[in-house]
Amino acid sequence: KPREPEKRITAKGARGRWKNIDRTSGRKREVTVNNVTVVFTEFQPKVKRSPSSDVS
Amino acid sequence: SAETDSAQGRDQEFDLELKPHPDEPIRDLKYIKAPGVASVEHISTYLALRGTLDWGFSGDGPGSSKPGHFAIYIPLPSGGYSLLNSSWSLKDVHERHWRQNKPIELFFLWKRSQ
Repeated sequence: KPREPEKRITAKGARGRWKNIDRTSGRKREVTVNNVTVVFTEFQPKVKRSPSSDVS
Repeated sequence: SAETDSAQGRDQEFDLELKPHPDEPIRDLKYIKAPGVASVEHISTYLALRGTLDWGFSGDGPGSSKPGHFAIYIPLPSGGYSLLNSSWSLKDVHERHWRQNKPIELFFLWKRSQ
């Protein structure tokens, strides 16, 4: 039998979903504490556009 | 095994909503994705680093010349907030306090050093 690929075990539901967050705005920044470096990705809220008013 | 746990920690990522504690004068939210191995101290350090750019305060803290740090809290189901141990990883926080299908809500509060 062919071996099934190992499944990456992830904490299901740990991500959840943000609402009204612009996922294309992610900026990565490294933080080092006690010689351990991790990468944080910060996102910005979606900017609500106000309806443009006609100027006559 | 520890190696497997470590690998799992590296594979896991968590969405965080960093909100100001009610006693925190800074009223700003941050939406961050971080690996499961990131510690509470990493989060505190990140906020301190970003604070100088986003909130305009010096490395010593908002409006203070004294050193300090950001304490990180998690909301309790019964109300109130629980101070998180700085050595805990996000994976630990999720397993102990946040077994929910939504981003982890954390609250920050600047604490001046004595």
